[in-house]
Amino acid sequence: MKITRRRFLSMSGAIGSGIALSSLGLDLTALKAHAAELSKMDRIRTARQTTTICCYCSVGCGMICSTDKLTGKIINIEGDPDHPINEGSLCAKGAGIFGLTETNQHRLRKVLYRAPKSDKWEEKDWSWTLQRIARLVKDTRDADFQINNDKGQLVNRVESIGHYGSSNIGNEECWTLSVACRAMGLVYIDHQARV
Amino acid sequence: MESINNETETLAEEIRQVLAEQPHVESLLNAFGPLLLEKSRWLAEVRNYKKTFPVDAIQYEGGISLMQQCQLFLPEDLWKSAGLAVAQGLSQGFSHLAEDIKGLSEQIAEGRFDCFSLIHSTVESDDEQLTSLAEGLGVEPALLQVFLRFLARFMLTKRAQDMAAELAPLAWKKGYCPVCGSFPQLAIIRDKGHRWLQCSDCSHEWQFPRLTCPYCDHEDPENTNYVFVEGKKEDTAFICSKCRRYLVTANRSETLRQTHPDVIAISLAHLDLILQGKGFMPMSECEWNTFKAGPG
Repeated sequence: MKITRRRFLSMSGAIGSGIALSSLGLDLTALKAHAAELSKMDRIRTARQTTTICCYCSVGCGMICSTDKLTGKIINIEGDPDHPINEGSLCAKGAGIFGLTETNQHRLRKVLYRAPKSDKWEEKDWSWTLQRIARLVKDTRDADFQINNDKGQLVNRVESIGHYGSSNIGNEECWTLSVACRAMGLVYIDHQARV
Repeated sequence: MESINNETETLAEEIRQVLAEQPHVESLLNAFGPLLLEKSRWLAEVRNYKKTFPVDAIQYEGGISLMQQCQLFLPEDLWKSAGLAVAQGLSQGFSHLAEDIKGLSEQIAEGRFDCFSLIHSTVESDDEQLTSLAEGLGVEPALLQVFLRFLARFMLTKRAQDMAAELAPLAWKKGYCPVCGSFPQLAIIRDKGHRWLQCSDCSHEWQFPRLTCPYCDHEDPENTNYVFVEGKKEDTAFICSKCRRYLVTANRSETLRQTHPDVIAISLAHLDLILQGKGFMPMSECEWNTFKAGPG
């Protein structure tokens, strides 16, 4: 007689499944106590896993994001092993992306300003901060703006300001920043994802 | 234990380690540990007996397991030594049934009990037939059940090991085992986060997408979640709300420690207990994860 999967499963149905551990005379008191304690202390948590794409660069690596269903907060981010681009691998920036979530206690939540020659950080609001940045950019640009180069060619550039982009921003934000920098005449524009 | 090999020694050490770290699974490991050790010892003993089968790659890659393609249990297989090894493991793990097992063992040794014929005669038997068979052999029906299950397990594991090299280059995309067609009892996440499913019967392992349910192929994140114990994120269980099945999962992507899959599955029995209490069923019922009587 040939044993097929169907026959094997029917064999399992008769002799395999439903062998309750209790019928084998095992004492499961310790196991049950452990499980009861975990449940009682609410230590059993459920998480949802969703796939997403790394926000850093144009490679577009796949990630699996785990969210605690009770708190709604992200508890883990890892490379997606089933994604055709990265097959689970992440670069150093991607691997550290969990640090961008609010779980990271060291992440800055307010603007800190250290005045020239000061050894102290001061908390500042965004209104003050943006005005200060705009003032410095305007003053530097006004002082150093070059209309022509040494050969008399029209260049309209500023060489004393550089812009170093962030990997934490999207393509659209990148485009906006790039246009703003070029409108001011900046020529030293770079992006973190490339460095 | 005579002629103990390195793999068996390593397994014994792993069992001791888990026993020290997780005393709540002591009764399970004491009961099934000797069977696992006997299986490891027997597999080493019969290493030179090899039997391979031709695989139809097109059928296989279409989801037809080896069990469906050919006959995996052969009369000339080493049934007697397997039967004696199972009996030896059972006598150590279930000392309160020692008398029954001793009788079974003697019958196998004297050739009065043919394991191959018994497996065949019970293929389509129901509980009543099994009970009367057990009475005829002078053993408890539950004991005979465990004996036959482990006998099939030993033989299928041997088969899966022999066929591993032939199957490795072929693609398998199903949630059930490519060798014997059973559903997995455990998943291990390792390497770069790949999920490896572990067959409950033949111990074969194969890769399967992380977010898809191996039981029903459902992949909507709204219905597929995982459960974990707070502060111990490496031990989890994948649950599918659609088919109401779960799969205990060990995340070993950040550790070099290797533990035998059956030992890991037993060490996660508390998750089995909790999830079965919530109305979920394991994807595959095996000896150490069945807390409620009756088929799933």
